[in-house]
Amino acid sequence: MRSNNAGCRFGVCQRKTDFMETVKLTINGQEVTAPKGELLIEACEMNGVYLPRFCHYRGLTPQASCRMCVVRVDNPKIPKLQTACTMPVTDGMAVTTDSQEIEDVRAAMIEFLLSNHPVDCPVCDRAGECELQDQTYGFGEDRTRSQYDDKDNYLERQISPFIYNDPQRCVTCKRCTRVCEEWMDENAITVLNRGASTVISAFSGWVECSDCGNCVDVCPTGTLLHVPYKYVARPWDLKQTPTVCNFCSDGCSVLAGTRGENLIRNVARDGRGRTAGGINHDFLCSLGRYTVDFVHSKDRLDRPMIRRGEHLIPTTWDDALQHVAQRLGELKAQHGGDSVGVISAARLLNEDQFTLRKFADDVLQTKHAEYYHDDDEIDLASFFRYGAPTIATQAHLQNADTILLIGSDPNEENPLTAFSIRWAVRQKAARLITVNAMPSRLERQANISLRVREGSEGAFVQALLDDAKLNDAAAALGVKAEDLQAVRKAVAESGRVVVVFGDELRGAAVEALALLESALAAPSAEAADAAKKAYIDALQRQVKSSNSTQKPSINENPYTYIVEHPTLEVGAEPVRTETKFSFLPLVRYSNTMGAGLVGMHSDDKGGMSAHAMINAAGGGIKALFIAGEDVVSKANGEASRVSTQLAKLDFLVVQDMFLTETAKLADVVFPVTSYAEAQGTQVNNGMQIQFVRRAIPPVGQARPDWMVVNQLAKLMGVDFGYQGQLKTIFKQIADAVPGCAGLSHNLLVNEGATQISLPQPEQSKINRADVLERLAGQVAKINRNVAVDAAALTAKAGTRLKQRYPQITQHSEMLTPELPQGVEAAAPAPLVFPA
Amino acid sequence: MSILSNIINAAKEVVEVARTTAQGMSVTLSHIPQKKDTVSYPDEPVQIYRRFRGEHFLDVNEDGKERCVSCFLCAAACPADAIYIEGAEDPRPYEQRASMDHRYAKVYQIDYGRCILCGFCVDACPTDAINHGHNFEWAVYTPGELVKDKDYLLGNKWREPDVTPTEKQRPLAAKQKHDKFNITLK
Amino acid sequence: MLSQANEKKLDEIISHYPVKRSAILPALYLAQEEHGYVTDEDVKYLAQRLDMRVNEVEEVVTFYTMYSRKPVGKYKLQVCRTLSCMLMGAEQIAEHLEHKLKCGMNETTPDGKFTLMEVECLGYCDLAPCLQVNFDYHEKVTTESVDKLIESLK
Repeated sequence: MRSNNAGCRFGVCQRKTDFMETVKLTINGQEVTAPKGELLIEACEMNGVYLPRFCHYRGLTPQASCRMCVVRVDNPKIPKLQTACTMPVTDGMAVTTDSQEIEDVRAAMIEFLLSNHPVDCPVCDRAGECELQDQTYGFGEDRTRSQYDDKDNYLERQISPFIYNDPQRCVTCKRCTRVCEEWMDENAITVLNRGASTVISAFSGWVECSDCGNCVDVCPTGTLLHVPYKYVARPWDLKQTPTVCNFCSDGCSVLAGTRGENLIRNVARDGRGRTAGGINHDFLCSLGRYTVDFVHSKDRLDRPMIRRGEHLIPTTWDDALQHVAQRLGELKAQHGGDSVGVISAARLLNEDQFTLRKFADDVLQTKHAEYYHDDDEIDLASFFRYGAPTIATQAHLQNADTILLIGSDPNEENPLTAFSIRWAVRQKAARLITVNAMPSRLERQANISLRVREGSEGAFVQALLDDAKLNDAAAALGVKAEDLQAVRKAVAESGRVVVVFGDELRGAAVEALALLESALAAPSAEAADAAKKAYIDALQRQVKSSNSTQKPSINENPYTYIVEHPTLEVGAEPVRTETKFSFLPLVRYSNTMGAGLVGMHSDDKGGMSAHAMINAAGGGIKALFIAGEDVVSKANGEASRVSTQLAKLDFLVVQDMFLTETAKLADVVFPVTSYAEAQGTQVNNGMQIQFVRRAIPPVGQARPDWMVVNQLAKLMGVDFGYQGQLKTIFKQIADAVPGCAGLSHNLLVNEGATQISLPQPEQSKINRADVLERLAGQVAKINRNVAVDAAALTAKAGTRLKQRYPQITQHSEMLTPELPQGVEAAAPAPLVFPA
Repeated sequence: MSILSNIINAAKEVVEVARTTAQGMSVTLSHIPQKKDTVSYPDEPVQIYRRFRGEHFLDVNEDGKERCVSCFLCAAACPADAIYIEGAEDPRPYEQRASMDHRYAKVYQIDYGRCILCGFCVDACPTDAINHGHNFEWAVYTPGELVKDKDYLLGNKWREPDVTPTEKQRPLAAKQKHDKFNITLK
Repeated sequence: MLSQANEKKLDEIISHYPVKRSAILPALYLAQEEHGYVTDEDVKYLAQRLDMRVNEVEEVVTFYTMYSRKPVGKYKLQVCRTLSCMLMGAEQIAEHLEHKLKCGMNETTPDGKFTLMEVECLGYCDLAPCLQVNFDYHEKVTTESVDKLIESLK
């Protein structure tokens, strides 16, 4: 651990530095380079010198409270030991990190921290991945001088449905409170009291928050623990599989901890500093982290089911597959291929979607095959009509000069995007402009926030494109023209703009986004830099002199922290786009992008959409093959109509994890794998393709979706040539899909998230006049008499993400967490140290 | 000549055989009155050294509370991967619960088909919950029976020779259904 | 939550600062003056008035020992327990007070007159040991002078 040549111990320092300005410095006599403005502790780690730390955490503001990372700075000569976590590197700096003096200080600090730490490692869930444990072994002494019995000052307690708190184990590093404030902007968990009686708690004793659990993940000791994981397993028993979450379209990497055949927990980073190495830094949201219990729900289907009269009865795979192959063959022969429709869930992996598409094309010979999407989802077909505008990844978002958020509430629907936006605003002084009908917590970070009329977001695009129509657009949006003018100016003078947009943009407005690049040309690099500097200066002035009667438009003063940090990203990814505008469409499902990419849509073949197929049931459609989608539960308020439609079918096959409302109507139900058991690739909203690893073997007799379809195809006389291998499927995808050429599973396993590059829209081909005319028509339709009513919309917010996965969320107990019975809210801690 | 020498040789052989037989028998006969080293197991109890590493027992403290806090260290130390544990929480106060700590082992299994009786688990245990007893009788009909559960291992303590329960431990000892081990300690 | 007079004062205080939240300390004194201690409602109300979050207000209240989050006696006796005072005999003073008032640390006497506390450094190291009674400092206290002080307060 103390060796200088050991390389990065925690494996998090793979950041690419060659596109940054670097400085030369000397660490323990060895000359090394580091990015300019980087903190010394990170620079050391990048060069293979690990400095112990508790309070420092990459991506959080410096705290310097644990004093473990002290170093001797020889040049420029500083008389006292310095904390490496607060010191930026400078050219020619010389530091010593390893001397008797420093070792003594570290040992003394450890002894001090342990003086009030109950050494109850055997019952502490953190043992084995505890940083205090590791560093005591690495840097501490084997004995202590402070032996006293009254270490038990505060009792253990549960402070939220998901957080368990043992205050005496705390080393007051304040990582949790900083995470809560900086990553989540919630301030739900906080530090109370002072000195030796400092305790992590909250105002009412209960931590009321969105339950993201990040505070628990970053805790270096056993002070904060996950309630669902309490006493369940030990970290050394868990097999950690890096895989990808399948809840929202952000596609965070998670480390799935499994014990035997059980999925125990999901974390972004285990206590040993191992990360999933994905696009999400060490961030995870509540759904991705805690909603893992559905995988082992007792309701999971474990055998195929076949309809016998009124009842679905369990059967064997052979029988079920034979029956389906025979019936589909009959119907195809009787009514033609187009009488059968295929619907897939947008969360299924690329391999599954591709196989379903092939099944529809080669076996059923139907043109009706589409992934299920609602009419009020983002219109990707319009977005990609003239080619692919630059898609922004999280790295681009984190390094943008200006972020335009149009519609959606990333806090609820795409928590990682919300995290990246907050990070960009706080660390990089990005300018956030929100255009939203619904109130969003991100407005706290916004420089300009426009609360607009519901359904009028398209008018905002019009205002950006056409200066002449600005007043009209302002009237349609229900905002002041000056504000729109200010937004337009800000966007025009910015160097890099990321447009994050949600479902609210429709039709021509989405198409018109491709015109932004030519309408608002990029300023020169100098002009963009000058504008950015002017913006930062203005912010700082505003903070200094803002009138008390006026609410600051920014989150008080996060700009004291602006550091010239390199990107947060792990992996070698460019943080700048070629074009001025890049877009992050907040699509709904984890693989909506991928489903479209591998061709699981009917547009180009003239087939019906999923909704049209259901509506045509009993008419043109005689049989449906529904993979992984609960179309009945998803049909808001129309469940009974959809059920009646499905009942009209001659034959309905459903493959799903649970016996959903849709599956209950089916003639044959196949049990399939969940995301923890499936392997393959998926594409997130940033067009990054990621490899999903299998963490546990399939539950019961479940099989992957592609395998079921492949077997059916074989029974129906078509061999897809997969040879039973997933890699072969991806090879076929790579050959068939333009952006995926050259990709392979092996490559994706090694590279992590890889962005698929698609050809840019050809500006000459775009019929500008037509697009603008249709957009104007859309804007003209907006009812300008409706008041901008935020309160009515507030009620709608907050539940959208959970509604998207009915079959998963209905079988997870984590979404309706219950506090322990009979326990009163923990009272705020006593004011002073009890005598 | 040759006949005579043959007779002499035969006589010598007879004498030699008689002598060696007597010599050998004298050893045998001298042992007959001595104390026996063998035991007519299983009719008689076996004598075993105190430090013999036999089948484990799970210990309880003086109040009769299970010492095991399900820390998994024994399972981690086990080179044969013979120990399986599932932890759980018992939030009741000390007097009501069966274990020493809130944290206890819901499932505790040792597979004696795998166990090599190395004693690493006993060394690793921070609460002295797991100990080697002296039992070695594992003859079973199926391998599955070699997996011993927590109740069995807890009961083993009371089957050991020379164990006197404290006042509070007595009900536990009384509950033990199996007989004492057929062992005496040296 | 505050009386009208105090509400006016609060408006006045807020107008002194460029950023609203800077008024938190005087605002808390105002609330404490009115209710005797800072109540849960005060914390929520001030958070709303000063554009802060309740947790941020709670942090401030619990950090400073001049604020109380629980009802306290008429006189709040705060004995400094930090290094200089401790070396100069603060521990004996605290013990003496416990005996004299027959109440433990962080407790209030039954007659509601005194609350006894041990606090971090009061900044009077040169005149240690120091005892703070409400907002008055009594420096270089001895057991005798403490006795006299208690008598005079009774």
